[in-house]
Amino acid sequence: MSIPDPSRPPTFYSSRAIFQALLLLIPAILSSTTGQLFLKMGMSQVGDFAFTPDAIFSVLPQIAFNPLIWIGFAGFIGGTIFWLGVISRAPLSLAYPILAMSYFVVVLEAWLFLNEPLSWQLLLGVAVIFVGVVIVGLSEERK
Amino acid sequence: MIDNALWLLIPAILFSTTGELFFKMGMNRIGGFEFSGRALGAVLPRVLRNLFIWLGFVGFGLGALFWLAVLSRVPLSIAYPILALSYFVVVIEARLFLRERVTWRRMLGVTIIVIGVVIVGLSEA
Repeated sequence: MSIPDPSRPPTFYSSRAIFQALLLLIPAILSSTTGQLFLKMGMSQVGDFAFTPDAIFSVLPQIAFNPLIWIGFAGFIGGTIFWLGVISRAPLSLAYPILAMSYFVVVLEAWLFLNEPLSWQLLLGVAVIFVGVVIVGLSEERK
Repeated sequence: MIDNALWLLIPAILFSTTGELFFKMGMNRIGGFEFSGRALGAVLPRVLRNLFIWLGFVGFGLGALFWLAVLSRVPLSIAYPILALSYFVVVIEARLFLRERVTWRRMLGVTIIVIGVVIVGLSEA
């Protein structure tokens, strides 16, 4: 029996692996978008800063000691681990475009939790992304 | 001024999409893993010792650097819709370098996603 070369990408992904990958995309997206939400909440406390060395230097400690910022980074790390689980089970050309669902989730979370306004154009764009994601999600050819 | 700065989007897109490609190459070597405490404890050290994963992080870092350079010169509502091209670039790179099968239906879906991202980006204009 020959051992498959692990450096070669699998040419065949089982339906089971792809199904697992699609399920893992849910926590991957929720974790990183929620991280984004916490970063935004943290930066609302810190306030805006100019992009000059002096201003960045004086604001860095405020950022580094803000618990919301740390929760935000934890969300990104969690999101990355789930994402590695996704791409170990599915082709990149299938999984990566589906990440665009993050737009839908970020817009929803910002509206729900940060009371950010929704515009019709924003909702239209998110709806179009959703249609594209469904098409990509159904695009893995079965043999 | 804006015209010149938009060229910086090319390295921004190429570095971050190639980072994604390296992540995938790394995970092709490492293989699938379960999401139990024990399996994660076993796989994470292997992930952190994988050269491709680190090349991926380097790609993301350089991509972010160029992206920040773009943002400091170009309005977000112009730069962000162009960044959406990353979705095409990742799929094309996966086809070329990872020999993934990319169907017409997948390209159609990606095109629609890019259009959606452009609409979202322009809504902030």
